[in-house]
Amino acid sequence: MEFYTGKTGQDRVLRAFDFGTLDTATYAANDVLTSGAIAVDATRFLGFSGVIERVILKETSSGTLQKPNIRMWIFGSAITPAARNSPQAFNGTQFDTLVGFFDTGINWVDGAAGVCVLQSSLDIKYVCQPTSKTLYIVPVLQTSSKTFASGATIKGQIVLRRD
Amino acid sequence: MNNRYLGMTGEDNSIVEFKLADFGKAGNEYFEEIGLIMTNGVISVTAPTQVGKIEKIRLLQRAGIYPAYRFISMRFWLFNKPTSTQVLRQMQNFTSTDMDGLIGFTDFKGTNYTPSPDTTWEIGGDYDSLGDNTMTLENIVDIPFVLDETQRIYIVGENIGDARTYSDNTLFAYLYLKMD
Repeated sequence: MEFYTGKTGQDRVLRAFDFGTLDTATYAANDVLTSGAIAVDATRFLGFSGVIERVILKETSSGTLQKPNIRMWIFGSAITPAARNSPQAFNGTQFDTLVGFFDTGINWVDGAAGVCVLQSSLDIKYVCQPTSKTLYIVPVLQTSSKTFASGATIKGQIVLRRD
Repeated sequence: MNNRYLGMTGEDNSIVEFKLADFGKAGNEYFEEIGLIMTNGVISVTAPTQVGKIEKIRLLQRAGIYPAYRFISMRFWLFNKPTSTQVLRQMQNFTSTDMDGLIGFTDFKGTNYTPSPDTTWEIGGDYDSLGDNTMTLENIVDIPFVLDETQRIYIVGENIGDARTYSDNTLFAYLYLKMD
């Protein structure tokens, strides 16, 4: 890599992500919420680093908002987690690339009918693996027994401070 | 905006000041319910930077009638896009699309917050040269933001405290920003 005068230092970027289609069958505690890991473009170069500063989640539903407590597992390289609505079962190789995790808690705040948001201020340092510029997020349900209505969504924003 | 030029790297501090609401102009306002909008719609301010961090928010209240300052509690919503219309004294009604632009929010749990406040309005002097009573309240926050090219931040206040009536009060806010 090369650095040029005036282009050193950190920057700050905003990324959006989406949990995709949620299962309408009831999730149990420790079940993976999504089909696969969520990829987030996170570094300027392969193997570079940064800080996760903030995450905002938004749940929408035509039914009852579930407002779940979610453990967000974050990896510095691509992984294939357990299937959607199956128990999390990360293996040793996958944990070798673990960046960290955080629990969202349940301080969801309502907007209009059918929408609520949650914010987390974080300070999670990350380094992507040498072949990756991407973080991979696997959301796992902490709260037991949550059932999402058809068409319910969870989307989010993440603020990254990139080295 | 991610380009950095010689002499423009690093961080800097800045303050953005703006008026949040003037409860006196339209007559007395009674905020009897949690969730009522306390600002005159959506307040739009221009930040000095497109990317940065909000480190502190301070409210200043000026009351023209002694001692009509009010120990309010407010949820201070911040967005990077215009939201749907929000109306003074009507219930907060942010849509899913609105929330896509959410930068964050902070709660000023003032003296009328139930079950217990975590901050106290500091009362300034009695009538000053402007004929005002003043009081102030601040929250230390840590809210990074990324704005679009307009560098606008959109702000809405929502009542989260017990009922209060305003007679001739004006609210100002100061955002203390750290620019990238």
